[in-house]
Amino acid sequence: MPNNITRETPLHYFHKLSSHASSAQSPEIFNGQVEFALVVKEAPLSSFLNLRGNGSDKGFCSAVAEVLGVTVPTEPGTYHSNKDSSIYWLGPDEWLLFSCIDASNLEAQLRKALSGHISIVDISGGQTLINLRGDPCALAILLKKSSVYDFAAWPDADINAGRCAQTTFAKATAVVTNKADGSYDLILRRSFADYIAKWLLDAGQEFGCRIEA
Amino acid sequence: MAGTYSLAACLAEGASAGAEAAKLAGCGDGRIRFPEPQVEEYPEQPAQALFLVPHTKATSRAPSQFVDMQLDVSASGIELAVREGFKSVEHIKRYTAMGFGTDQGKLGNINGMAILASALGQSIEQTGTTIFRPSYSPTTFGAIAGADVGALFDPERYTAVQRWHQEQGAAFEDVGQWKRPWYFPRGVESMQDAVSRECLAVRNSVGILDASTLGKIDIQGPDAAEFITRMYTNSYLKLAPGKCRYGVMLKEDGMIFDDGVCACIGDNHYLMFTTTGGAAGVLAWLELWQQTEWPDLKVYFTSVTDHWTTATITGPNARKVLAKVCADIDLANDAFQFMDWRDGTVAGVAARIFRISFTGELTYEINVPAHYGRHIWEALIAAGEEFDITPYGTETMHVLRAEKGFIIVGQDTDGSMTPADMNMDWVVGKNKTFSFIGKRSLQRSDSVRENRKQLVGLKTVDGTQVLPEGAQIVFDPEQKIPMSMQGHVTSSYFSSNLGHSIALAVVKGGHGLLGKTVYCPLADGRSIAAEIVSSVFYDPKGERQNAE
Repeated sequence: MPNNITRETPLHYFHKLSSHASSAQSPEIFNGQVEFALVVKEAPLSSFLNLRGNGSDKGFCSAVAEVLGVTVPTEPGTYHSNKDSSIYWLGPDEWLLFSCIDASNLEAQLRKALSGHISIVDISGGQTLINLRGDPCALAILLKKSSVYDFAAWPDADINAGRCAQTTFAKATAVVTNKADGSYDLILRRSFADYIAKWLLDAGQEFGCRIEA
Repeated sequence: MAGTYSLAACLAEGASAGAEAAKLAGCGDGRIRFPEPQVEEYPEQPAQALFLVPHTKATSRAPSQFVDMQLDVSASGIELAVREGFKSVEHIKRYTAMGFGTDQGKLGNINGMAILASALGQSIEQTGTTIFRPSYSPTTFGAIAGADVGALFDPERYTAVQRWHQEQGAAFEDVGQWKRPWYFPRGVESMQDAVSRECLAVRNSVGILDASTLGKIDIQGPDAAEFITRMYTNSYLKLAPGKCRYGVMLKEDGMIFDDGVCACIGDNHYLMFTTTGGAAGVLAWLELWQQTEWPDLKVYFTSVTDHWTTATITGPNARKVLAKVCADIDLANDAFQFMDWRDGTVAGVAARIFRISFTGELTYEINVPAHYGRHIWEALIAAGEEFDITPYGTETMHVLRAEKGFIIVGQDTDGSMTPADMNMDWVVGKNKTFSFIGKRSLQRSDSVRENRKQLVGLKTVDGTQVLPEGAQIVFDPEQKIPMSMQGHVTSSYFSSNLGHSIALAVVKGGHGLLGKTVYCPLADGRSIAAEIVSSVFYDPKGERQNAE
């Protein structure tokens, strides 16, 4: 790929913005002079595939697990992951795959391994994953402000597994997942990303909130 | 009852207050120096509750005595509830609606419960109260609105090219939750001047439109073609990979509900385009029919609207622009035809290009994953510079498609229009083995009657006059009110390409009225005369979109 090709993540124009200076990038905000209880960090561009298929078909599940090295979660509202990839349960026959493996390569591997009535769709351009970390109390309040879902009722996440929910977030939607370190990953749709970034800076203002690349 | 009540006591209280005030002002010693006024005393009893003013007639026969002003609950209604056998105050509440208003009975429920107690022959305590729910105590609007104010009132959805549009000074239009460039004014240019310039640029050279907001649904499965064919009025069973087809969707009532192009991507794999505003509704519609009516059809749907950035280049120079940034697709007219799509590389990025057209011109819709959206956009702007490539917005898009008579679902249709009404019988498949949604309703007597409102073009007699959209159409402007409404204007613009105004309208029996003069009476008393013409104003044979 020629190196003059620029790529922009959905939150490209929000990197290094904070609730203290939402209209201008301020270097002092990121040199440790200002305390932030909440930090939003956007993951680098990655692959997102939407996978449909029969979760009760053992052949289907084992083929997916073979390709990704991650078992397919069949328990509602859960995800499994390893260091490269995650599989989020979205429905009885629908999963979201998140991976650092190239999307077309991953799709080709899955298509080779799977047979029967399935669907694999590359939606990498339409999603972004952000990690939300910080003071546990501030995090809990931020999530309460943003969604009616009771994330506090979730059991603690494992290192390679946890809970996920595709639910309302402000007036948009997000896939929200918990992590073993107490932080949360949110997967957003690109067209709503600006809105949610503005929402997070506003809702997190009382604690101090900044967005990292 | 608080304070002093009897006249004598009031007078005495006043006199001593006056004497006290005089003393404080330095006059007298606080004693009252005049005799106590003598007034007639009446015997008094403690205050009594009056929950219902008695009448000589029974409550049910007396004039209405309203208890709950919010829901017009009357005393006779409460007594009737008791006669009907209700005893619990909660049942009385539900039988009469007493206390169901926004005040939750704060204004009238004490009286109502007392009347109920009396009718039941028991005490108010025995009768009890209903449960007061919000908003018994007032709630501020701020608590309801929360942070959903100002810029966060409703999501603003942006395409990946949004910042470029802003930097160019685009005026924006709301389309659903999307912000779309409306037009791109240069300097102090007026909207009409900007739109005229953009329209001429597309017809004479090349324009570029951000079409990323169109709904896109990926459809996969062995029954995909069959399912799609049941949803659209025409057939997709023989659509080959690399080909596109335009389709119209109807609701069960036979009325147009969405339209768009559907492309065959590969075996059992299709990409369906929907209108920008209809995207979520169409996806829900597909899921509804698949899950509830045809679960036997093996097909999956996935929204890919956000995944793609779509840059549409259109105009006689569109091919020359594309050729500068795309080397691996044979762009020759017979190799890459109108209604074909191709995979290729555009400005170094893997792209999917559709040769479809909403302007009637030679058009390529270039799709790349949205992370490359701004890159591909700027590459096309740079490649088009020598042709003065002109970014245009939704207003120019509307004018250009109206010149071609292409409908916009939701603007030229309103949920009561069949394909035949839109003069689009050609899109209805007559030989489909399985029915399609809405087919049966197209045969209803009302769907086939002759006097339905039908899509026509209107050309004003004075070409500088632009009809207001929504204007009513009459045949006789002198007719006394109430005039016979014959239809209305659905789309109206000044066409700089044609040098006169154009309008689309629906007129009763309009397809048989070509050449007839109609009138649009306006609110200011004037009436604009227009001739009914074909709805296709420009390039009626459709030669330009097939251009070499």
